[in-house]
Amino acid sequence: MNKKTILVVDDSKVSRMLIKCIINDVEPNWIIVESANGDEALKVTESLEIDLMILDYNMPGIDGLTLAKELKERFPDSSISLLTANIQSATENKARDLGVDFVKKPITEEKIKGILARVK
Amino acid sequence: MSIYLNPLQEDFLTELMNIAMGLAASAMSEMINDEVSLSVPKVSFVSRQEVITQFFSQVDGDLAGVSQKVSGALAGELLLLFPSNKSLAVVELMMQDTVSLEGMAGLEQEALCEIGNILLNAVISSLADNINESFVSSLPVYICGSSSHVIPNNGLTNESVLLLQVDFSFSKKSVSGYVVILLNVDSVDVLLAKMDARLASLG
Repeated sequence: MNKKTILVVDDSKVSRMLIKCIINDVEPNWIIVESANGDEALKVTESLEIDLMILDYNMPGIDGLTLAKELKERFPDSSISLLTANIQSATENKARDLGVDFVKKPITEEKIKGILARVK
Repeated sequence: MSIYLNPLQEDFLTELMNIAMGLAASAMSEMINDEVSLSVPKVSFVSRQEVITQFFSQVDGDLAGVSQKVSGALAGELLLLFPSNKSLAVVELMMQDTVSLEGMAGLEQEALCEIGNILLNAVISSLADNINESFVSSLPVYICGSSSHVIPNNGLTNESVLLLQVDFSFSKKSVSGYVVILLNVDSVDVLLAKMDARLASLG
């Protein structure tokens, strides 16, 4: 199976740990790049090719959808999932309008597997 | 300033809170893989000082949890609170299947913040959606201490707020906690206007 590179952006270190644990169990050879906020994510991905992005919405600095918009331009063929606790319809609608997959927290193995399946 | 909730408005608000807590309980249940029991929501219009005296008359000792501010049509503070001697048990319960306890060392407060983020956003999202409004939430903040410390008064102990409170418990580990929502007066006006319009449409 092809090795993929996944970007995980969430200001919660615990959330990033949970997501990484699940991804490593399911796809131990895939590469995970993590960032705690949008600005850091934009910087760290400057010289990388990203296949899949898992982004939180409420973060310090730019929010997850603003980040998604910028990353979409940089990686137009990549899949983006917004994994968020902010599950109001307004947020979901904005995500759908942007063509971003919308996944509600809490983080579960089933939900992460569903996200990973988008690039398998 | 005081706002009077008529019985129908109080009933409607209680039901909105029921639905909202249902979503939060569903998320909690998913995290701990256990049933979550909920109390009937309490709805009252009180001063910030009365929040402490009314709420904490039932609670012994210090509390630990998460505070989150919201702004927009629904503005105020959201709190998820546990007895402080139970908060670590809550984190262990919610993370045990995925992350080892060693991996969690030093991250208990952050884990509680994320738990609070999920649950409180579930509640306020439901309330907002049910009245066709949106909100902006701040990042969650860990809080711990006595009642007067964890219940924000912003220096305005006589300011009136709408208090929405639900008690919940998990059967595993005998943990119980509280969700407390304090909405400011402007938000109450928005809420009542939307509820009245909805009630009027029902005939």
